[in-house]
Amino acid sequence: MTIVLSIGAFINFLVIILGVPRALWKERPSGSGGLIWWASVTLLVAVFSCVSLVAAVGLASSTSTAAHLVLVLAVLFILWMFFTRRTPSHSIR
Amino acid sequence: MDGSLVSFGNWLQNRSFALAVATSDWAYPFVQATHFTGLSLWVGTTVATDLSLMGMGNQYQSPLQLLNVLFIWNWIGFCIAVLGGFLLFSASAATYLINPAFLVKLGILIPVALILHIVIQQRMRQWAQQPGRPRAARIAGLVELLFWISVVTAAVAIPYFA
Repeated sequence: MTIVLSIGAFINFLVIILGVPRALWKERPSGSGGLIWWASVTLLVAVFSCVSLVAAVGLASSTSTAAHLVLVLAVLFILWMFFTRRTPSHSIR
Repeated sequence: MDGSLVSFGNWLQNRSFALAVATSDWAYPFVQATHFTGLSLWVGTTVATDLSLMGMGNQYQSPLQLLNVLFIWNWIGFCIAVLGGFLLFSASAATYLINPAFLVKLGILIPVALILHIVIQQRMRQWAQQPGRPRAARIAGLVELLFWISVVTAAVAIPYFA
């Protein structure tokens, strides 16, 4: 169970570390300032997703059934949200 | 698995930057203030957009127009909050990694709220083309608001589980 939930947590990690920068790339402000802004956000999304992965693995390795159930629901909810989202047709700015 | 997480926490909190934050008289409160400043900016701009999606506030400005104004500041707030949060976490990582409130906050609530936030920002353009406020937009705004309230509640609960 711990291994299955850890794999789910790792999939969440991949969705966040790859999906968020990709979504923000389309909406970044124009010019070099926009590129710096996007790179900063991407770096900190990477930091956040690593700590989040460690926390999710911590929950997966706990013995609480409630924690396991909520973690499964969270993984399924994230995958459902991410893979059913619409891509914007033009940039915000 | 628990042992290796605690080992990782011990390794992280013995790095020089983590020791500097943990042992200095002024660094920890300064980093904490920075984290709260970023959090206020991130959650404040997010809640403003969510309330607008729910039909509250200035009716002459659409949620999309509000998002356009707040978008950059919203993500700058995220960066400041994560930077401060990581430094606070690294100062006593081994303690945080066995704290249930911290694990629920970082392992479940924030990842779900973050992906929901991205999805809402992308869907907002689609909702803006529809007359009035679509029901999906109102529900999405409410759900995201509830998630961020849960995140703040979990954060406040962390010391009580220490």
